[in-house]
Parts: sequence; structure tokens; C-alpha cells
Amino acid sequence: MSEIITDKLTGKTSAGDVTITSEGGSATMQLQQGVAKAWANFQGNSTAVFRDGFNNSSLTDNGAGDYTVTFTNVMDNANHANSGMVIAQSTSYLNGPMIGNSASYTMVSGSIRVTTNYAGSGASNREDRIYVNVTTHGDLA
Amino acid sequence: MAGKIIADTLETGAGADIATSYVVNGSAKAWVKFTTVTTTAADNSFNISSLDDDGTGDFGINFTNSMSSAEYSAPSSAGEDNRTVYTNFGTVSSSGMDGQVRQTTTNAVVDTARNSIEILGDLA
Repeated sequence: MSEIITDKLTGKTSAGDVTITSEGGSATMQLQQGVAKAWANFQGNSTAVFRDGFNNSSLTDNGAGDYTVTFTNVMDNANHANSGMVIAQSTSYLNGPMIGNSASYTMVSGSIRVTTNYAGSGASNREDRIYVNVTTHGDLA
Repeated sequence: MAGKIIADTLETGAGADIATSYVVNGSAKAWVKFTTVTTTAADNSFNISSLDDDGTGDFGINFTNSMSSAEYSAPSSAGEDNRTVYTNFGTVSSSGMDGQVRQTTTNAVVDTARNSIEILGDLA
């Protein structure tokens, strides 16, 4: 078994491009592009607080079902991809990942605005959730 | 030619280690942030060759490098209150998949500006 002990991986030809071989062995991909740049598992009710996470500096509770997750190291641009999942809190609510960067807010490179909703229309149907999970992929600055 | 290292484990100077299988298996093999409003188009992406506009709120994504099978995970989100991206809604293959954005209140398909999908699984 081989092992590399290092604190940093840097591409030789291009500093931001370390290539890894695919599981099937027929393709290669850029390591930096595939790695999640931030993730968080946080409590969204009562006092909003991180349970665990990576590359997050702060969590802001903006009101019912409305949070801002701020990155420690910011992204290169505002066009990052975010996905998530929330816990359903009643069988009368529609389940599913009702989470996203609300159209009411401008996307930025330094944070994501996350809203959690139950079935309904608009901001009036936002609701705190006990468990909120979000993951961000994209380009780091 | 750039150098090549074959290794099973990566370890930091502080002693934290991770098997390279976690790096390879745990990395997203594709991701895309896209809009279906007016023109279905990617704002930013990785390993996405093209997007299909299959009608209102109905889209397809195609991979540059294919997955090893159709059994990959595709977490997603829609960028607007009470809208959800339903992945695997239609054809799913190793080279791409269909999906839809729907209102959670009415189940109607709807165009939305800020959708995200991430693909996790094995590349071919």
C-alpha cells in the first residue's frame, strides 16, 4: 500500500488542475472541480447553529425558514451549485428538498441564502426546520 | 507530460489521512447551476456538455464524460420558494438524465432561474 503525506496538492502543468483517474479507469477528471467547496448540517429552529460543516464561517438566522450561510473562503463567482435536504416536520407538509437560493435575493460569491418552506406560496410559507443540510460545488476564488 | 502519482492514501502533515478511494468516490462527477427561463442554459458547470429544453420546466442534462451506469445520485435544489427540482424525472442513462422543476403547491411544471444539480457516483 502506498501513501502520500502532504499538506497541499498543486497541479504541475496548471496549479489549479490535479487530475484523478475515474473509478472505471476510462476517464480522468479535475479533482478541484469535483470536490465540494462547502457543506453544512445545521439546526434551523430555535437558535440556528451549525452541527457540523466545512468552509463555513457563520450562520445567520434571517427569520422563519430563512438563513444565510457565509463561507470562510469565498467562491470565485456567484454561480455556484447548491443542493440540500430538510427534515419534514408534519405529515401534512410536502416532503422534499424545498431549499434554495430564493429568487428574492441576489446570489453572491461569499455566502448562500437558504430558505425552507412548506407547501404554499411565497415567503409567508417559510418555516424553520430542525435539520437543514446544504452542499456547495463551484469554483473557489 | 505532467507527473503521475499512484497512491492509496493521502495524509496531511498533521497526521489526518484519507484513503484516495474517498477522494475519487466522494467527488462530484458533474454539477451545474442553470436556468430554464427563456433559454435553458448553464450559468456554471463541470462535466456538462449540454442542456436540453424539453418544454416548460422540463430539461435534460448531458455529461461530457459518461458515468459507469445510470445508478448515480443527483441531489438538487430550485432557487425559488416552493419550487423543487425533480431529478430522474424521465430518461436516466449513463450519459445524462432528464428532470423537471415543479411548484410544490400545484405540482405544475414551471420555469425557474436558479436550479442546481450535483452528480455523485462512478465515472466510466
